[in-house]
Amino acid sequence: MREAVKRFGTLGVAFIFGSVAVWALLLILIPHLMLIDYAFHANPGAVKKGLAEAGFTVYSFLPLVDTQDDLALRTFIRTLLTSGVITVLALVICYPLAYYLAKVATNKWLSILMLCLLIPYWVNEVLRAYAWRTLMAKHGLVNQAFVGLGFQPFEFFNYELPIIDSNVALFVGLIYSYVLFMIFPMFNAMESLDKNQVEAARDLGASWVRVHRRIVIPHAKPGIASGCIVTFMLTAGSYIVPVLLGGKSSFWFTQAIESQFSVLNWNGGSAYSLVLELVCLVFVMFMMRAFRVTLRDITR
Amino acid sequence: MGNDLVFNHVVKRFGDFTAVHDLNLTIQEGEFFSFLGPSGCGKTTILRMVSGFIDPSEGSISLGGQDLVGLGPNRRPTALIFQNLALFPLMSVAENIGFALEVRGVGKAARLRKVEQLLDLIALPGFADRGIDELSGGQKQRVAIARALAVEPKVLLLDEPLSALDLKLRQHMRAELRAIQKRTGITFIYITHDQGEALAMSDRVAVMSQGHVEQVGVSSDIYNQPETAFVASFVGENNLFAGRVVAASDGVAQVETSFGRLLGGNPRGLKQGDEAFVFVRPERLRLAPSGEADENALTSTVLGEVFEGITVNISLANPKGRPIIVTMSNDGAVPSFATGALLSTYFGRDHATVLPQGSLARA
Repeated sequence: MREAVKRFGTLGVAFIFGSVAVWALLLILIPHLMLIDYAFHANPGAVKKGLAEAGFTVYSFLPLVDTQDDLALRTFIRTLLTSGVITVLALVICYPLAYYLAKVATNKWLSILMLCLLIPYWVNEVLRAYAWRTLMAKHGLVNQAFVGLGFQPFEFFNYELPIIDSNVALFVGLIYSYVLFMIFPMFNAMESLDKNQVEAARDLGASWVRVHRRIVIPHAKPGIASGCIVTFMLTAGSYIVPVLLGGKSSFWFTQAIESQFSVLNWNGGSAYSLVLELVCLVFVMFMMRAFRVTLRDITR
Repeated sequence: MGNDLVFNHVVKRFGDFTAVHDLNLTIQEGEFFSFLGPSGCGKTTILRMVSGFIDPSEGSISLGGQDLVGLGPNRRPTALIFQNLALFPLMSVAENIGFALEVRGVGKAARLRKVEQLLDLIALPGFADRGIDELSGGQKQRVAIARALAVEPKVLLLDEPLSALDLKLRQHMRAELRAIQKRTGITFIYITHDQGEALAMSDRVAVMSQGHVEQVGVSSDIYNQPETAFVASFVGENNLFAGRVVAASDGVAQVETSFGRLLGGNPRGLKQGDEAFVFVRPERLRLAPSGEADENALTSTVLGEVFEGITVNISLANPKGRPIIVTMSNDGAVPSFATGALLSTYFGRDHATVLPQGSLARA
């Protein structure tokens, strides 16, 4: 602290701490307190109709546990399930790629591949989602190729995947949108692994599977955990991709939140938001417990 | 012999660059064998070919008659100790040492028994549950050795594992390595650019330069009877006098140099007219009372002296500026020399070696 004062001056230190305090207070703490306050009140319309009490109430959460009209509940479960599956799939796709980039690729190939991965992200997320929409449309490029190869055109927007009942277009779009957020934390973690560790394990007789299980994965654990956390949260919290690629049936939970706010039911929207946020928090804590990593490991 | 390691016409190329040229060598079972050479001489390439990380471009490497080429590093009866040791930091000492056994599906109890044995061998009993970060440099060294020995490899490969240690510990570990090698009877192949290490520990040494083995032999032969100019100048200090052979007979060559005519042993049978170097070790030069030595007398000017403790090194130069170094044993009788004084030294013809200039000619 004294060191910092000497270096930046009292005013500088006050500015650094002050801006962090303002950030935390204005952008995190106060909005959340408001969110909680809204969530535990019923919307004025419902109060006026005598459906709910005016004071503290869980009325706004009720649609989420309504098994009769289960649209909100189904949307919520679909969102979490799809996000979970996408996270696992992204992990499976990205792990070998991250390992290749971090430990196998020569510098030349590393820069080429990195560029290929990054360039699409220079394009706005909305435009990327639109691009997928065009590609996977009924008479889009992908289907033209299918037809050219003698297959039937594929209904990307209407074909529901089993169990998670999201449509294929949304699924592809979401994976594509958040893959990089899985690769980079893993790449970073793996890059710091001494290559001799891998060779030593090989030399001692380990198969490739065991090298990864005993050496690479334990080393890259914080990166894997943070990649999964970021991918899951971004997917579950994604809005524009489901709007553009979701089709008629794959309603996303963020859309449910938005639809509450759009009919000026701030209380309902807050309640839904709070639930989504809590679930994400639980997921983060679960991942940290499962991978035995601390916050410090993840933010490294 | 049972488990001799045989290199048969081994060549390794990387693109246009040839790292190892036509290597033919047999390393006997139970031998402590060193490859000595400057960085880039190809010694690490040889090590990686034996351990299986790379395969030769041509030729074969076999162990006890079994061809190793094509076998992955995890399927060879060799173990490698890395320069940085490459211990697994997330595992305990016991897990590190037991890793190779774990890989082979040895049960936990049997694994622990073996680990205990090995910890006794490396004199670290009771260290099983320590973390790698809690070990000192020397202890890490020993754990790395134990880890490599766990599966009883037929050949242990060591890639300059002592280079990170300080001098005292390095000398201690040399003795330790030698003792472990004697106790286990495993073939050790040691890679180093440190000649002191190679000469002190090895049964035999191969001196390498630019992908070629220049000479293979016991330490004293490498030092006392170098066969090439590279070996003579790379191993130990040596005074080098360039010249042309003017006469050769009875194993002795006379070479005309800037110091006059010098005589020395002629192991390579040089003939009159050949370009040659005369090599004389600094410690073989003797002080000559002026005018008494009748052959190989060198008169030069003292440039300065360096006190090394056990020895005193005196640097001199002849009128043409060619340098000489004389090493005198600090036996209490070393006189003090004033800078600029004329000093006469000499050497017996059997203490000098005349060798073809070879690859050193342009250097």
